[in-house]
Amino acid sequence: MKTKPIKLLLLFSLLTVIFSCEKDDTVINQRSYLKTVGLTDAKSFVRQSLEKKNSSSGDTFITSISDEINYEDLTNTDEELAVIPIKTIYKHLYSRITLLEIDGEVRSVVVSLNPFENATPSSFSGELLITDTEGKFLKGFKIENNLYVAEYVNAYKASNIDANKNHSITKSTVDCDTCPYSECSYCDLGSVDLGIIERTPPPSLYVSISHMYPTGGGVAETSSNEWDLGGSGPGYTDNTPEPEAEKPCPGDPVKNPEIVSSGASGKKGGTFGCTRQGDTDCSPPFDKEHDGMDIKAELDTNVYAMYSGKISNIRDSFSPGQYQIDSYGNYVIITFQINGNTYFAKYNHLNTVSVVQGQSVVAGDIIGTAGNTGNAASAGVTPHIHLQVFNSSWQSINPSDFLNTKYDNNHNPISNCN
Amino acid sequence: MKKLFLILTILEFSFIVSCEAQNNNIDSSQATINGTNVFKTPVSSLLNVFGEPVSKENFFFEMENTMGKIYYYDKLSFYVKDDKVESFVIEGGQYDFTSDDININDKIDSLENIYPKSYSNRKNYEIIIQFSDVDYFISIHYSKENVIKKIELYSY
Repeated sequence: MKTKPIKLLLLFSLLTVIFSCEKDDTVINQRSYLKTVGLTDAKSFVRQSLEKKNSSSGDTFITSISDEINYEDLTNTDEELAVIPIKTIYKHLYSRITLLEIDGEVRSVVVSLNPFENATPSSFSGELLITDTEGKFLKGFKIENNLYVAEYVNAYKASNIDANKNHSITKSTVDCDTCPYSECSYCDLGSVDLGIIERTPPPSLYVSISHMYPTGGGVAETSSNEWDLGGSGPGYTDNTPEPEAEKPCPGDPVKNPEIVSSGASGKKGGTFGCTRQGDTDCSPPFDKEHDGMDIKAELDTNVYAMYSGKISNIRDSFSPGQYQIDSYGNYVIITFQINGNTYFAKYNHLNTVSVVQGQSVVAGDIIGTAGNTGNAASAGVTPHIHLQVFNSSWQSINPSDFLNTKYDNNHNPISNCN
Repeated sequence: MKKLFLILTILEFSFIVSCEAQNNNIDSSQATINGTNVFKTPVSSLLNVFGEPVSKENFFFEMENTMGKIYYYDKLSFYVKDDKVESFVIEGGQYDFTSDDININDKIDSLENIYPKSYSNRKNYEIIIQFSDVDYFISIHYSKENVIKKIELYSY
């Protein structure tokens, strides 16, 4: 819990210096009437948003919405912006849905941040993506070292923008090879052609409301209403860099990993092999080999990559705590190498998965949250990660050999890096 | 001094045992349905007792990477792997579970004397009965009204 204020502080500092937006671009007409979206209306609106399907993929763009609603100040008005943390199909993005009533109509957009690898809390580099609630592209910005260096726009717009303001326009297409985003899958959003506008603007703490809720008209000389992104509250905690003290030792999936008991066998049953009660040779009638280690992990706490590697597969179809007989529930598989040998680490029973297939991870990266999906969803089961390791031939091998933490004959931890 | 040490040792041991024994244990052979022990029972024996199922369905046992079947009876289903019962789910009041005749729609108060530790340790609308001989357990699910709604065999 103590990390939350730190996370918020980091986010605040990160977001307040992210970027500036074009103040000379189209803004909402000064005569537009802004009004705060009330709590009840906001909740009703987001419930409907959850049900909307992406027009191109058929998937639901927004996958979950927090119960938490924050109201943020806008400039030049007493009305406030409703901000709700959400998750989208792009799990690695920090996303929020924002709501504002404009001229009697509730308008909404999804604002997402995609930090690059070199992003730090004090110097952000990454992308900011603005879409509608179905995932259709509206705006995108590229940030380098807190400076807004480029804007992604629909190509038709890029071709029409006045090129007398230090803009250099490069047209792009949705072709993956030429997609301007760091991940070309963004270019599937709304199936639009994208262009990129290079520029070097002065830094700003604000984003113009017109960038979030384009109206298609109403040009003013100066921006009227802006939103301080830095005051946007929580919602980006999933991938916020963890303080080092919270991270486990390299090679461990959680901090100070303990083996959990499996009933009659005690902790021995949580270790790898023919370790279950009455079944020391994995023979009938019980013939159940325990093909992994059961590592204790509190529900909904972070799970970390033990080794650097690549996400080779995930399953996230289970809702948190969803039961199924003889099932691993949600899982993440990471392919990694040690001394030139390839291995696969599989983290089972997760409540949530925060990585995507093909994504590279570094040891200590958060890959999801611990849970009790699959056959672990019972009060009779201590929440744990069923950790499996396979060799390159997909033969199951003892995960204990890959953990930093070692265990004594009573299966209690005897060493770690802390 | 020696007596004091002995007493403290006994107290400590008792404390450890009491901490670990939060649920009641039964032997897997006591997990009977209508008087028949079904755990790891071959399908042929199952059919002799319960007759032909209403329907059958293929089921993939993911953790063993084995295809099996679900045998559906009226509000009772058996998960069968390698021709033996791996799990069961009771949802109908016509089945007596264990020799204590625990039934669906019974009030959970009826379990207080049978499984006092498990009863007092109940949570999330579940009462857990551990097997003492194998790494399986029985979960007795109950409603907000404290009525038993489902009895299920789980494996770790």
